[in-house]
Amino acid sequence: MKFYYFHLMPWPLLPEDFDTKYDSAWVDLPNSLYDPERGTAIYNQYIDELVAAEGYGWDGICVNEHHQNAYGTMPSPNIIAAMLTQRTKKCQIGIIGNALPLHADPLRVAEEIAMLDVISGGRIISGFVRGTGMEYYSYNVNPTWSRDRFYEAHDLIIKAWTEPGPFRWAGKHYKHHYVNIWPRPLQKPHPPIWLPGTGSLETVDYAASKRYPFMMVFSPVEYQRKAYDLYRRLAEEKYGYEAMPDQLAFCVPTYVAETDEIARKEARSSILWLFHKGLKTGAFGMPPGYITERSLGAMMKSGAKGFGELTYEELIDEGYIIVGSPATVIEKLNYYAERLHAGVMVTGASWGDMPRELVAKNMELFSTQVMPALRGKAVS
Amino acid sequence: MSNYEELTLDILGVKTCVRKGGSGPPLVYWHGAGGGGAWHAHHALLAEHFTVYAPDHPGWSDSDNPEWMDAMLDYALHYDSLFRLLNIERPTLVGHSLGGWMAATFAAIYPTRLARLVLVNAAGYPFITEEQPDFFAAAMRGGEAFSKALFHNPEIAKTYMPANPTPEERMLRFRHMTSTARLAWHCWFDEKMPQRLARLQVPTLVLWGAHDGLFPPILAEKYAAAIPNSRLVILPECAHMVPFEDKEALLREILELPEAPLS
Repeated sequence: MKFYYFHLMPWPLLPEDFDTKYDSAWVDLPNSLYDPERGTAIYNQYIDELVAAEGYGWDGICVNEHHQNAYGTMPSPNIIAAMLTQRTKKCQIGIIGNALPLHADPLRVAEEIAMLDVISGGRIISGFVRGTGMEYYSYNVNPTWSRDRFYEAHDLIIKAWTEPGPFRWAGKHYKHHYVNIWPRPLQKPHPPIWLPGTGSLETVDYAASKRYPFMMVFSPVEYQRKAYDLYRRLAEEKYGYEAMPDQLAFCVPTYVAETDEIARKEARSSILWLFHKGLKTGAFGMPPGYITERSLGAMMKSGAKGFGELTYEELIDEGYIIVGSPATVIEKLNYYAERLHAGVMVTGASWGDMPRELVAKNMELFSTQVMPALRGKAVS
Repeated sequence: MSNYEELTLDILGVKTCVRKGGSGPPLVYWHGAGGGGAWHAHHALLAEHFTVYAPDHPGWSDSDNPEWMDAMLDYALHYDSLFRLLNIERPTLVGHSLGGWMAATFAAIYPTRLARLVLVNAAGYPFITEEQPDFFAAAMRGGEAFSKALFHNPEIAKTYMPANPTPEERMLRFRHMTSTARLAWHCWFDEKMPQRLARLQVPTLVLWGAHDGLFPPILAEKYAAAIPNSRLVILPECAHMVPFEDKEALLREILELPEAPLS
């Protein structure tokens, strides 16, 4: 199993009355709640954590893109990734990912990833996402174009990375007379692409068709199992290959402490910050056309609860998160390795407004007591 | 409720459902973002004086859902084809809300094709006030605030806004919102609408509810000022859903409006 350290870079200093006063941590949460004076230390602490993860032996460190919110303050993940190229030596740097449809021009993404890949000596993982529903409000991008633009932007970027320029591009959303990016990426044929998602049939099928690692984000373990089964089945039956464990990734917040009891107690408020405050999206979560009617039907049928309705115990029991002693966490990860055939764990140590000393403890215990037990483990 | 028939037309490959009833000169009614799918009381009332054609826009209710139709021009051209197929000549064109934007667009493209133009709480005019809610967030949030933006009388609101929609109703609503978003997500107007409206040659009624919480009456004034031969009527007891709130006023004000002289 491989391990990636992910940071969302939340704004942890929400006011006491956030739960009652604000419907959402996104889109219209007043930015007067952001304090740039304190932001300096917070950003640099987060960057230090990512850098420290390399020292603890993580395979890679990850950042992502979100806009106008308190959940994750990285509107430009490529900027953070640029700093990480200078402060790390060997680990991969995952940008998981750039939200392609939100940007007027995917060539900028193609160029920046190529720059980072060359500068880092070929250490970049390039995740592509559509962006959350909320971000279609924040950037006023039409959500009914979302999938269409995502696919076209993807195709344009891959072609820009892999085929000699200049060439022309005449798509529905993007038109160019000269696609001719300088620099070209270092990795061949191009930096690895990851697709994070929540397991919709469309996305899993697309990932399987391209052989891209698919990463389930913040979902019950049962949904993860279904998504990986679907990926593996589509790979075998529709696309004619056997999916490998390094194509199945899971993003699951994890907290490790001396015992299960201590772990549950220490992680509680920060994990609930993540799911009940950071992921509080009010009216903005599901703009019209962001998902297909088929996905909406499946969603209504599943009766899945919103993040805000899940209790801490449900988050643990249903496998949205993993919390416990090293032995407990290892046991749960063995389930991923042995039963879900998933070989890439994307987690981290800093969740919500977690105090710095707990983040440090979580990182140390996970790195020194959990990772080694799964390191050599062959994922079947 | 008066009799009506349902026509299913093939307009260049786009199946379009039209409800037709009444007799007299033609009147075409274009519904708003949440509309379509029924022969409403205001259709029936208008049908006492007109032959009423009430199509479901492509993307709504019983018509096809062609994803390529994502601009007002697509709808204006679609309805030009429909008018020619049904031999609808010189209709009175009534457009409510999103349908009002469509109607204003149609009238600008075809300034001599209509007998009357009636814009009811119409979208389409380029003006934003801080008080205007973001339509899509407001619609998704729903509740009393959205209901109040639409209806002045809460009792009428209850009739049209089910408190516990069925899964089928939710699915249909999602489709209607998606079709609306194709046209109006980025903004609810065309920047060049004022210049286009200067082309209008048809007597125009701009009819508005004083309490419209989506498109405030300032927009009615802007529309009326930009349209050469227009009359502005603000209804003090209505909000956004004028055809549902006061169909008698809708009929009365339409009948007050002269027809365009034959050119």
